[in-house]
Amino acid sequence: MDDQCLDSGAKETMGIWGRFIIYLSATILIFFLISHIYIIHYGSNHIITAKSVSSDLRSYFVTVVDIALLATCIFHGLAGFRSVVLDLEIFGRRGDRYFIFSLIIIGVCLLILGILIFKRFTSVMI
Amino acid sequence: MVYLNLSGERLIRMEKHKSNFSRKTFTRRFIERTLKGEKMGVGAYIWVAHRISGLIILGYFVLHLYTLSSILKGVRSFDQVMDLLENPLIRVGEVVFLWIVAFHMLNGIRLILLNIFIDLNEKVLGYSFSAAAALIIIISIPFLS
Repeated sequence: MDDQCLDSGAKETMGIWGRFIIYLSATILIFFLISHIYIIHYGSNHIITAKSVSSDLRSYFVTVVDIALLATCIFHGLAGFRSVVLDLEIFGRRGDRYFIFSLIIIGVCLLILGILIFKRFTSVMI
Repeated sequence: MVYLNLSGERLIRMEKHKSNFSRKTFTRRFIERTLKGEKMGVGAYIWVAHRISGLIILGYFVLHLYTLSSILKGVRSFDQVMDLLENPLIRVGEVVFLWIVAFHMLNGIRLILLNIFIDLNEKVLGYSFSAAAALIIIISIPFLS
């Protein structure tokens, strides 16, 4: 059995554009994730406190990396989760639509939570 | 099913084409074959591992956001949570999680390359990424201490 469903003739729950968007988000995520891990490991002297995180976030590069990482991670994670659940064919067609809609709501909520956390960190006095 | 304006020959060809397609998804076919005890290629198990690792990473991400949200209760609350997480078990868990991320990332890159460049030698690609994964594991072992 191959990785590529196209050859095995299995029913596809994700079209070609869906796959393309997931691949694109994965490629972007690789760069931001490696940058984030590098910054966390080498930037904060291994001791993570609110002040150290806040001082890291004063840098524009770190800000951009963290916000972009948040958005792409949410998108890629939930798109993958959608793919896994829809492949199981638990719901019918209507159920699939409600499920996708609920994932969008969850994604937006996670994004808002992330931005609130980010704003709180930037307001911490160093 | 009625095929309008089709000659007998075209009708037969369409039915032959139809029989090559399964109406089941890949996941369902995998589950059915596993329950029947059928042997499948390594690719199928790597595919499943990729999906399971993705779910683990998603779970960690949500947990990560939850621990970071302690800053919304105040600076002291966040520092207390960070002190709680300064635990050798958690450190080991983080390194193991890094291996899971590395696997998911490398397998994802492999899948993207295979889907874009169809003529790539799958075995060479598989071995080179396995070597990269082994390198990541070896580099991360000192961080366990």
